[in-house]
Amino acid sequence: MNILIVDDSRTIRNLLKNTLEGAGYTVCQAEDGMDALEKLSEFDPSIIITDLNMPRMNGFELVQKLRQQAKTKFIPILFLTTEGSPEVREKGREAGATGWLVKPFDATRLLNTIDRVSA
Amino acid sequence: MPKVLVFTTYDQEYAIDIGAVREIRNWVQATPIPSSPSFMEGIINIRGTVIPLVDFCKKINPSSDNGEKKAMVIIENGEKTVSFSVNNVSDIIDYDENSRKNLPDVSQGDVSTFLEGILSIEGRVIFILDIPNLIKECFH
Amino acid sequence: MNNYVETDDLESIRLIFFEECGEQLSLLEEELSSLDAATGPGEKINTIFRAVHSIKGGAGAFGMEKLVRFSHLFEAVLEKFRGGECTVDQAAIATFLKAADVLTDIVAFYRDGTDLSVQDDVVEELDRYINVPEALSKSPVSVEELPEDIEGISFTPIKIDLPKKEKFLLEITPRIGLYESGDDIRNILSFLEKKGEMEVEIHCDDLPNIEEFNVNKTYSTWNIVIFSNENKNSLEEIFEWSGDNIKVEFLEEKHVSCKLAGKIPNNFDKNKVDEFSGAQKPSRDSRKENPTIRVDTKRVDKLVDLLSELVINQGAIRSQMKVNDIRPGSALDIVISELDQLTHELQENVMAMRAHPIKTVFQRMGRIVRETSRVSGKDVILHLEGEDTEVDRSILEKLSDPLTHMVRNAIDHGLESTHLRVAAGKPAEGQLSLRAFHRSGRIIIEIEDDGAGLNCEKIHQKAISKGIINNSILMEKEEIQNLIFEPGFSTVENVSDLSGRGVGMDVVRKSISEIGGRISILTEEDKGTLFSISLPLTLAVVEGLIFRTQKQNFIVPVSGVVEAFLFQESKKFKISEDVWGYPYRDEYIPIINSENLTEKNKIETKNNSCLIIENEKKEKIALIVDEIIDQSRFVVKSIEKNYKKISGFSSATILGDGGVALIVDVDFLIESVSGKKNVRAAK
Repeated sequence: MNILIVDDSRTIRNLLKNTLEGAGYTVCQAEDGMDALEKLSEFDPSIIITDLNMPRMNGFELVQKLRQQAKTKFIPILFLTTEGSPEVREKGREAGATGWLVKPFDATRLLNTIDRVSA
Repeated sequence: MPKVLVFTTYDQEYAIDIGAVREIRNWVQATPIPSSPSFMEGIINIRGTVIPLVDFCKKINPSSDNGEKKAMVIIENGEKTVSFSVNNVSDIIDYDENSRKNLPDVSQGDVSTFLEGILSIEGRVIFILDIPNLIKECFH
Repeated sequence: MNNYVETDDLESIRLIFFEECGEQLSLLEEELSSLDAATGPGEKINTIFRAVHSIKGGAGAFGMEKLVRFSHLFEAVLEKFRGGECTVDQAAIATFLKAADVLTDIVAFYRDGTDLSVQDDVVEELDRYINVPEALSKSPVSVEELPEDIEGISFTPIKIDLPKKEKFLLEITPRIGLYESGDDIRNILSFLEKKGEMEVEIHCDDLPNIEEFNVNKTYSTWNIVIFSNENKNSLEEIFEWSGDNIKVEFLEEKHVSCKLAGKIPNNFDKNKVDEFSGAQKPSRDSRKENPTIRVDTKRVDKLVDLLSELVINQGAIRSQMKVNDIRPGSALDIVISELDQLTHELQENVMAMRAHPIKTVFQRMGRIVRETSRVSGKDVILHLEGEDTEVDRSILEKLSDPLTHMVRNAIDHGLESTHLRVAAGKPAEGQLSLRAFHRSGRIIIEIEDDGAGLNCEKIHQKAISKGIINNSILMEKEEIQNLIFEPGFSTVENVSDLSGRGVGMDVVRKSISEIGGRISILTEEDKGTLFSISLPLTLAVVEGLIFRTQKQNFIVPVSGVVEAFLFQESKKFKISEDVWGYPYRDEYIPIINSENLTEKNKIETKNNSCLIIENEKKEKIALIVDEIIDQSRFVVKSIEKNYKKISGFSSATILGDGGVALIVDVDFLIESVSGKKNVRAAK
């Protein structure tokens, strides 16, 4: 199964990649929202995991964009961010996110959440 | 069985553990280095790397000028690569540990410091070189 | 399923984290230094915020508590500026810069295990922004407690019950929003299935006829019976996120209705998001346009090595062509010439891959300036120019120390104290400029201050008292200025704790010289001093003259050659026993015969040419050679790598015929004549 991870931190991307690849997923990385849109022209993810605060295009914008595109309209999108306030989470929900995880992530929880949003 | 490379210098056969030998090449004229010992032929180019070349015959016997050098043995020792010029490389032989003897206690002067032992095979007497010590002798 | 990250991988990600920290810190430094009071809550603050945020995120992942705490505090302060609650002023900028320094220190603490100095004052300064009186009612962020979102408190804690199977009855009604957020009832069902044995019943009484069917509506309700080890909380959690997008009722005896998310007020401000994202564009866009890949430097170095060999091979082809009498202009010659050109371009491009903007080093100087300024009590404004000038990595690495020292020197010794400046009619703040640019195939770095300038008389006296020079010698102004590069020289009587750290300008000159650079001074009393460093573009290739002597080839770097002309034996004259002189312009300079570079029994050859070479002190000698062959670029090969350092020669190169030629160490030759070193060449 393919997963696209979108985060401007190389550290976080690598940690995610390591955990996900260790669990047997195929991972593609993007540095921000813009990059994610580019990567999506070549990569067909089953799930997208995205950071919130990123240069060029932030997570909210990305999710809104993706929900408008036929190809990604129904792909589960998880937010993985340091922010966890109800207000921010609600914004994410409104934008169309499928789930929310708070950094630093716990591998088990991450994999569990992925499991939850993918049949 | 241990494998050694055998070469001749001064009508004496010497052996080097094959593991230390990187390659054998035809002798080339080195670029001399000023203020270096007489046995230093200079520096040569081995595939883009500059390495020192020691005249093995002169190292054994400083006063000698024993004619034609035909080959260079390139040796890897730790981080460094060095080379020795010799008269002739004869062969590579496997030997039985039993045919290897310790050096006789009689001091042989300078040479003994970089000899490890003696091989006697079919009447031949071959000196086994102690490479780390030889290199220490030449380059320090 | 493998839930853990391998230790090796973790270690390598740790390294990536530190590398990234470095990048974020220099970005931070860069943005902060261009920040001014006119900066509103716009893109700059955003970029700064993000840099700190990014460090915090990674630090959290590695459990670097100190780093998390401090970056969180810093971030919280920045948030105030981002949101417009606070406005940027000089004091804020100063605090930010200090905070950035502390951040750098904490990163170094985790990376290198360096000592961590006390940062209480900075923490206090930051706290002041958070604990503003009107905000006192809000819970202040204290550095003592870990921030909530870092601990992941937003997850409801799970009670662990004894593994006892319980029966749950659920009624689930998905709304269209569930599908619109990329979820699916199938996901939920298959996930629930993993929680225990399950029975599912679908109620589709509401399903309309096909012609009335609306794809934007949901019609079905699912009744589920599940026997699970999980407790109710953990089952509820499955639906938590989906909020209103799914209606879930836990039936069972108690008929608990589950309204977990409830109605969350809609305070989503669209304008704010737009401004937020739009504002981020300008600062980073230009940089992001060219996609980059990360390559191990070893691979690039290997490429450089291979190219060197290609260049050598090219030379070999050339010499073979000569041997085989292939005329210039022949078809083969043309093809080979094109190949030469391509190789040359290839080489330049590969060299460019090793190049880095000097920015990284310059930015470090920002901190040095602040520190020095603080300790010396002199206000300094640093101006940076040409930060994007690219310098070979190997040179860049060795540039930081000498520059640091020179910057400290410029502030400590160059700039006057504030009251002296004001008295002299200068602006109270000292102006320090760092510039980098290309000039005729070399990189020039300038360090200029508008201080008092070098006092020649003082330097001269000092040098005499230190025994560096003899007072009977008459010296040119320029020569006197260059005395500051002599070992053990210091012009300030009370050695301050800044530049007087046991290293002098002699060390600076030596380290610059080691990377093939030269340093010169331009100074005017009361106006200031300009140090100019000239560096080669690369250390891998040297532009040199190849000459022949005693039938042996040598290279002398063109950077050390002033002039070359025909040698006239008759003009040479004897100075003393071993020393000969030769007229050059309006002076007489000592001669070195290049045959001394060789060891062989001398053969009778004719000295045809004379090379005037000079060192960075502008001392000149005449090097007499048999024949100058050519000027070309030579690949530098280390002799020490497999042998040892040879005095008189800096390194070697490989010629077209595969032979090795020694590259002359100009400084050493000249010093040998000045009698400072007892060299063979002087015999």
